[in-house]
Amino acid sequence: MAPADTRHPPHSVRIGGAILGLLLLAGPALAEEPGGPVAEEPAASPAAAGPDEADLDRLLALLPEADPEWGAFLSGDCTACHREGAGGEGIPDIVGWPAEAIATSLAAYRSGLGENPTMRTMAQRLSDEEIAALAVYFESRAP
Amino acid sequence: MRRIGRRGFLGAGAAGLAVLAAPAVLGQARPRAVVVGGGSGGATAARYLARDGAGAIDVTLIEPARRYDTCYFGNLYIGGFRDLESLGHSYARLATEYGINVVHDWADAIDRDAREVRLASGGSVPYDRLILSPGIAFRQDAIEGWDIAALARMPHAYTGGTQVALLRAQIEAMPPGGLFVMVAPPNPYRCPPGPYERISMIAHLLSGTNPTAKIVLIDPKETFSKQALFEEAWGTLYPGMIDRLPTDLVGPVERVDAGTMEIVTATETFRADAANIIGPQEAGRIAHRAGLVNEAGWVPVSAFDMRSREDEAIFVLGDSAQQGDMPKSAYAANSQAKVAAMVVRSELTGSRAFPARYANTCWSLLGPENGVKIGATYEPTEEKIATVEGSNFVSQTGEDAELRAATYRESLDWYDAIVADMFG
Repeated sequence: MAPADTRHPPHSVRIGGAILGLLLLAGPALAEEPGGPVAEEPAASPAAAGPDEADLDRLLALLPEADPEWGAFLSGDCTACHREGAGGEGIPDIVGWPAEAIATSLAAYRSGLGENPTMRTMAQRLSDEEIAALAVYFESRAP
Repeated sequence: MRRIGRRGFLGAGAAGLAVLAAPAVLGQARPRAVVVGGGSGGATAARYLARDGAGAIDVTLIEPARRYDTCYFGNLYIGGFRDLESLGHSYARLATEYGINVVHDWADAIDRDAREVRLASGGSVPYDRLILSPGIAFRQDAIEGWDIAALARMPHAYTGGTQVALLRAQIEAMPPGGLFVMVAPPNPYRCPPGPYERISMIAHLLSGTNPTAKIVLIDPKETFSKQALFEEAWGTLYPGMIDRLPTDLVGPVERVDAGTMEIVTATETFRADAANIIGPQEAGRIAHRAGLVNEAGWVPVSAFDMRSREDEAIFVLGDSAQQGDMPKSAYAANSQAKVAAMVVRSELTGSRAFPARYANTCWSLLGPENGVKIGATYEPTEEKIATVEGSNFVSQTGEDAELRAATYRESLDWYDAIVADMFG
């Protein structure tokens, strides 16, 4: 699925097969967050270097067939904090982001990257199919 | 495959089953969903049913208040970080933009055989599916002397709006060097970090206006949510002001007297200049009248869909539900509402159903720009809603000011997002 409307451009650069420059990065809050100690889990797991590039490519390959209706239900976990059309300084508006950006960001959090324990926790239980469903749902909601 | 409720099924590959999903309402004009209680659970459920049902479901929301004053962030009002006006929200958009029949009345009784909600004004509302989200009630006669009349001088301030305003006014009226006493509730209760965030906010308020005032917190629990974070903040931000007295030290609260402002425990008597009694809690009254509560006063529900274990046409959300590991929080009620709305819509219209999942995050403010949070994700099991193993997170002691300020900014955005998720 081609990245469509980038009215809310994520902080990412596509290089080779993967989106780098992670968006972990995903928004002002994350970008500003200092690298202080967070959460009780180990800071550096073997996976903390981020998602494997081949794994990420497999995930992105799911996007064309992903299920936005499933994503709509799964997005209930997101919308209590991410407000459509009005992201603040603390939590970004993710509605309308390109699916690849959402998927790459969630994959990064799932792999342990990023300092925000809320996002790591939310992402940790997501399967590839669930991430893909969320990604195409949020893209489909582009204003 | 995980069980997802009596008529639920997994989304993928479920085409063709839709027609089986709505046997209760075939042949009827529009299926009727009624929601009782317009808070974090009920407003969310009503809005999601109406929005996602896209006109296929007749949604009624029964809520006596014309305006919803959130209990959450009420402590920030007490601390001087929010005005009360910013914590009040209208139901108007649920009516005008979502087509919900918003009925400002009390649900007085539920006739489960006839499937009708009786209103205090005399009418009744039929339902095919009923969602109850009535919040908490205080257990009557739990503390001698703390009755309805006493609330004017010893408020609980554990529902938003008037009581919260009253508590702050009474704290502001304390004489120099006066004594504030809080009696914290036993488990389980609404908003586990709430009493301790409130203590922090009161200490912040008094530090500016009445720095020799003292705060006594009488607590029936040995431990509490975010304890290390609160105790660190109390020691560093408000040194010498707060004295937490577990009841294993001073004995349980035996009675209070709103006339003399005395709080009497087994071993001590405190004479307060302002007092906040947060009494023992149970499910909201309508859940009792519906005959859905257990001996502990809460409504046992299925973890797969928030359905009452007593009545398959009734779902119970949020504070009133006894569901397992989730705290009684706004975030949790909002999360549970989305599952219940999805299941109810599926049963009424044949729309797809998906496996339930839940999440929670609770932010607390310790002082200016000093926010902390706790959270986890949850999954249904036959027994209960269970914490996903290893998903717990909590802010750490010793975090730097920048991280605490970022966490506080998150909480502000969360507040705006959840009320938008509830009220549109």
